[in-house]
Amino acid sequence: MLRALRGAADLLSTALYKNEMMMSRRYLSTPAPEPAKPSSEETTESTEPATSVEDAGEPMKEKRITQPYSSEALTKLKLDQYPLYVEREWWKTGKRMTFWASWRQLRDVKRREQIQEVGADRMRLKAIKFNTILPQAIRDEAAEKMQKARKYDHPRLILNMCQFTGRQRGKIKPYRLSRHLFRRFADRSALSGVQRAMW
Amino acid sequence: MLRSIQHVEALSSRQISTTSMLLKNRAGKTKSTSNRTQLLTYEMAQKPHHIGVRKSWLTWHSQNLEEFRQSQPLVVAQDEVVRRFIRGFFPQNLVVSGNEIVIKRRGNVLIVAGFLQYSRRLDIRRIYWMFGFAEEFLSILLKQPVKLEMAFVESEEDVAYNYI
Repeated sequence: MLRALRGAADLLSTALYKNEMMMSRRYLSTPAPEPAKPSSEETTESTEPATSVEDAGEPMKEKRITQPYSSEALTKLKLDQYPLYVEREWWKTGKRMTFWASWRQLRDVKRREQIQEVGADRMRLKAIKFNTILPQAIRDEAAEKMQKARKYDHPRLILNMCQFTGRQRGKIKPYRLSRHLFRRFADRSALSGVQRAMW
Repeated sequence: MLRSIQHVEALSSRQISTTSMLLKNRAGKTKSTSNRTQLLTYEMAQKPHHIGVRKSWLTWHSQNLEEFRQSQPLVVAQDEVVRRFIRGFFPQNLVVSGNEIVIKRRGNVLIVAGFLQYSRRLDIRRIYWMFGFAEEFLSILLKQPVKLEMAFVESEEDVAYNYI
């Protein structure tokens, strides 16, 4: 009994600490990487064409050769590290009009990311809430935490829709396709091993 | 199924939607021309119910087995990405509009096989460059090795099985 009490208290404290760490991490991660990289790139670019213009009298031809071909230039531009970093500006997080079939699909993706953050802790709080050998105060505290959660922390609100069209009905679940697309792909032999039923 | 005239008259005309055009089974059907000029490859000539009997599949992998089933939707999406990339990157060299590109997965290697055509000029250096670029681009995009095993034919008539 005392051992269960100690374990439950530790779990609650770790959940609180993890939430605080998550909040601080989210706040810290947003401004830090983005201004550093463009500022460094700007400084390097600003210094090198100036020196190149000073060296030679032909600005048009010299500005093209911003970096001589060498291993130092490759490491500076990070072209020797995979995967190559590609700056995605307005399509960075996969906007609805360019990446997802419908607004409902994008909303579902956001829900899934949210549940990925808090789903494990929610599972543990639920186990504490329905544990009959714990004291009622601890169970009530866990129930209160679950009650105060965000709107879409419930795993049951995840929609499973067609991954191409966002259609919610008539899906073939192993392929995550609606029946119309499944038939189109299957009749075009584009699903390995799928053949028509004949009996 | 309409059986009696009184029942037909009782219904309003808006609810009946049967036409001979809607009645046709038309999956995999290619319409013929009057002077028999429509090109058919073997893939197009066989019907969808011949899949697994007279023709086989355009994608080959083991992700639909029981232990691998979780990555099966991802494989469908990746196949579509590869097909659209090949269709858009070699627009002048496509054979039957790029509909018959075979995608095989062996281990973690994705192999793209099929036919491309050079109708006017076989520029070997440009083709090698395009192959290298396509392989590198798809390798970075799909995060696995991608190899192109496309064979070149002179024109579409070389892959013709029938004309209807």
